Amino acid sequence: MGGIAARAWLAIVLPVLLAGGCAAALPPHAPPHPPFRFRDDVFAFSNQTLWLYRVDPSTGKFAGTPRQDPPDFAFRCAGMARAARQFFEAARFDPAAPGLDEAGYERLVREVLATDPRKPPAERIVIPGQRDLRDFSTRHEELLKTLLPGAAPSYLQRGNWRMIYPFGARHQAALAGRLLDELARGWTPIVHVLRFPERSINHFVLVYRADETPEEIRFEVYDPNSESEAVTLAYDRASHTFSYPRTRYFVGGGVKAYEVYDGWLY
Amino acid sequence: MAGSTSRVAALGLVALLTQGCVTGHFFDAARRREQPLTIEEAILQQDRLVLDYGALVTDDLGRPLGREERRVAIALADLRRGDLPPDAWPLERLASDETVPGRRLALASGAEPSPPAPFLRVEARPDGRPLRLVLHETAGAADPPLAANALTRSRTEPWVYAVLPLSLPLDAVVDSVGFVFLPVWLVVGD
Repeated sequence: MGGIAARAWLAIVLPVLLAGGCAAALPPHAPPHPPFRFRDDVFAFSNQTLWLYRVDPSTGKFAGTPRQDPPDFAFRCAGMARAARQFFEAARFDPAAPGLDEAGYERLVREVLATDPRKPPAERIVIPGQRDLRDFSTRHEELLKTLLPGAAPSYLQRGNWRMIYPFGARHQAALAGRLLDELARGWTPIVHVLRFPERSINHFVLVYRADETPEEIRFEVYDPNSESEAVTLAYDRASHTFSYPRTRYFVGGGVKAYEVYDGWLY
Repeated sequence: MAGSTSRVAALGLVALLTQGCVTGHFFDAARRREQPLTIEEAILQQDRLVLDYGALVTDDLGRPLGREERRVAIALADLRRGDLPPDAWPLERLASDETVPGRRLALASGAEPSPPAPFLRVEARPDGRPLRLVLHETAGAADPPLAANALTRSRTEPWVYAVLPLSLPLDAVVDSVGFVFLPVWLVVGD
């Protein structure tokens, strides 16, 4: 009985865990549309961190302290990256069309957020009277903040099971190649950036562009914590490692990365 | 007894193959990288270039741990090819404390005027670390650039192998528990 159980365990667990380290299915071709533009295609507001970070002058170390007033829009990085992709893939802004009242926009936003974030839809939902997502989210910030998913997508993201396992050089090299392929196909991959078991960064970003040099690949990403400037996730071709720059919430340095909202396992 | 041994071996194999959580993180903790920090000296020999450089030793996440002096030799034939990615350069690692015969080359930074050939131009990153190395063997003739990160070296601290007898059984347990909960997680997860 013990032997049968062990064999069954091996037969089931091994393929699943091995598959977990490999790439999931490639997304289907996206319908043609202009490339993602940071200026236009991100939210005009940002996810807020629960803590404030600064360099401690006495130690020179990057340290965080809890905000005195807890932010009202936090833990949204996964939901915002997911929603930015949904608006980019599933929505089309038509500034020339007559605008809608708040209830009309609410219905359209709900429709966009109900689309499958893992694949582009057959048809786009037209959002009239708005130029782009930044414009829309400037004018309707409260509506969008209310309708965007809460913390659940960050904590319950399907691919979170993968974060506890290590990421080797081969995995990271494969990811870099895969991100390039997907960008070339017009897809905007979402990447979980982390340092598990450290908790200094545990973040979701949307990749929309890559610049290649012989030494590295510089992926430009939309960081939901920053609505004002893009961030560069750099991949070193020699060490097969990713690094994330210093931001107002992260000291900067090496990170691990894997793609999420991608296939049934992630 | 034989069945028990084979089950233990099988579980160990699974844990190894799947880069189990515990073992993998031990390996991550034991990983060291040496990245070129400064190019100290370049010596041209008949068929190869020998480079002395200071290397920044970091952990797996790039946190500095120290500095080492390193020496490598690169075949001129490889330098002239220009089609090798940075992780595929055939480098010969040499002891850095021996005298190396050959012609010592002038080192020029990216902005400096060219000294008489042969010389080595070192293009730097904004933080001062070398980015590319270009060997000028004769006047007006530069070899294709060598990405400085091709000198990066990775190694694993040997202590990690001592913890494998502990980590592999732990991984067998962790992976099993993970497998039980994975379907639930995939159903409830976003």
